[in-house]
Amino acid sequence: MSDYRGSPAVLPTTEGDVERDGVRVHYEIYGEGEPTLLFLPTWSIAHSRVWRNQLAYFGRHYRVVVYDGRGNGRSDRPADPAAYEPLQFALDALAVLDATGTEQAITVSLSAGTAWNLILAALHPERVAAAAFVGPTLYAVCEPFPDWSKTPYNERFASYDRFPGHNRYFIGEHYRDFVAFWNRLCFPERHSTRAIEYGTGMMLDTTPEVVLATLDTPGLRDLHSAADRLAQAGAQLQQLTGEVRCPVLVVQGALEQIAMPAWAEALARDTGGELVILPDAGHVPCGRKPVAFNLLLRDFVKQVSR
Amino acid sequence: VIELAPEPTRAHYPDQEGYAEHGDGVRVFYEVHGDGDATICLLPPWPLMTSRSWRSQVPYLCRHFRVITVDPRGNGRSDRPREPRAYSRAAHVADVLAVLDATATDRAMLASISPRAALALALAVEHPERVQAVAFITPQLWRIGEFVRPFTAGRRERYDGYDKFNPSYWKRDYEGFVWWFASRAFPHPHSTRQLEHLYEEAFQTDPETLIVATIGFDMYEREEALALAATIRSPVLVTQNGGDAFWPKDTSGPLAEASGGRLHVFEGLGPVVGARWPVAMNLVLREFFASAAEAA
Repeated sequence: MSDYRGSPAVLPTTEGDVERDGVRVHYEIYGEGEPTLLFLPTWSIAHSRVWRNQLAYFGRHYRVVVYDGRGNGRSDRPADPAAYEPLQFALDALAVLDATGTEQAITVSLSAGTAWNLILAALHPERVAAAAFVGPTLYAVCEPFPDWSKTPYNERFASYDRFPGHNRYFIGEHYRDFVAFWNRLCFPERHSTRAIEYGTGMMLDTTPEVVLATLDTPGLRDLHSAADRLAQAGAQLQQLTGEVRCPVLVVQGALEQIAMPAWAEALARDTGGELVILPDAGHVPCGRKPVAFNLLLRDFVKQVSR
Repeated sequence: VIELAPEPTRAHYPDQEGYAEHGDGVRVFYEVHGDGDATICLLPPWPLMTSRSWRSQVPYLCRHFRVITVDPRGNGRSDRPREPRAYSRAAHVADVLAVLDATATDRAMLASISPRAALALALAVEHPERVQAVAFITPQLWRIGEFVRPFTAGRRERYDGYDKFNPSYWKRDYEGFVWWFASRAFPHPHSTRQLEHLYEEAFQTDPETLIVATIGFDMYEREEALALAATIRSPVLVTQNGGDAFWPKDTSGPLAEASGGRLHVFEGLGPVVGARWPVAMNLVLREFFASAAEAA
């Protein structure tokens, strides 16, 4: 990685590594004070810089802990698909909390981070003061499913020109095209060239082999399509929501192209949380509409820290 | 009254707006933002643009100063006369004085963009009692070959590059001209919003108006301009861009030297620093205007 941070608005006050089962994960701390906000990793196509527009602002008011998820950034990239099960991401989060001396945090997830955020909130309630879910994808508990998820995943197609979805060979052999396709879905807002450039950079900081490994976790490898994988993940995660006792915020962009509005509604309903729809935002409101998102999240932090 | 489609949102809405005129039947539209002690008048640009081309300066500067913007004759909410003589430099000078009168502004600090440096210079030397300071942003004061040659070349079969700065081409393919100009004004990545703004402004007028406005505005001769610049008594700032192959650079240095003003070079930035790098421009303008207001 040649240009991990670019020219950052703020530098971390502390950084370090934590290792579990031979996999090293890199974390950073910004600011000090109470409470601690833990910004969780998303799918390993991105790394901790996906939160670049939160670090300076929240670091001025609170203590922020952020880390690169396994598979990207300055964390290790294990080859074994089993290393990318959601539980492993949740255990990394606990290890980072321990390593940074953080008893309890407000956890914030983006997209696929829904899974480990829910696991933490449901199974480790003493560590999670409140949980915010941004653009939740894996809580796919109801129809309809998005078009991109319906293409056959394991079938090899004759042509991958303008291929419209998730497919093993599209990702593995046409990775640059997949990156372009996925970033277009992530950033439907006008004037998103900078956000797309950042997204592209992060996707090129890992490899198609790692991305395929994250999609080949045990039990998912042979499923027909991303929709089937999403449905299975949704069914498993829904069993956890009854255990969630902490305050919950769910944030979804009105222009969302990747997750379905009904999933965010279901997540808010099942956790007793509040759902906020941000107008003019797509899948990554924290990156593309940082001011609106930061003010919203800060209100939530203030409300739950009283 | 020309009704424009409402803009979705603005970072700062005018505290006062209105029309001013000075007896030639042409009304120009102005806005006043903020209520600081010192007043800045952001001068009307060449009417390919409107006063909204200052959009990234107004919300910042008006927190510290009272800021007046003026739509140019020929675009925005100002009238669009169709004779070249309605676009003379003297008519523009009278527009600005009429706006200062209408807003009860005794003295103002001026900022000009590119060829409207000639308007700022005329105001400073002809009405020194009304002008407290002048910031010339990428100034042009005299006609320059890159633009004069194609403009007077007449009709062509095809128009390549600077050939497009040609009235026959504007009438044949106005959008082609706007795109050529916009893509040179904003050649950097991540400029889609700036390109869109320029389009929105350029299509509020039409090629016929832009042609008469361009013919009618009298620039200076080089020697005359520099001699007049030497008589300016108020503080002067001249900016030039380091990373800019579009605006000719032969004016900034001589103007700064002749006027005894300060030359600020935006290293690596350009051509339209105020729109594409507003923080860089705003900090320079604020520092200059604050020191000029204090000196006065």
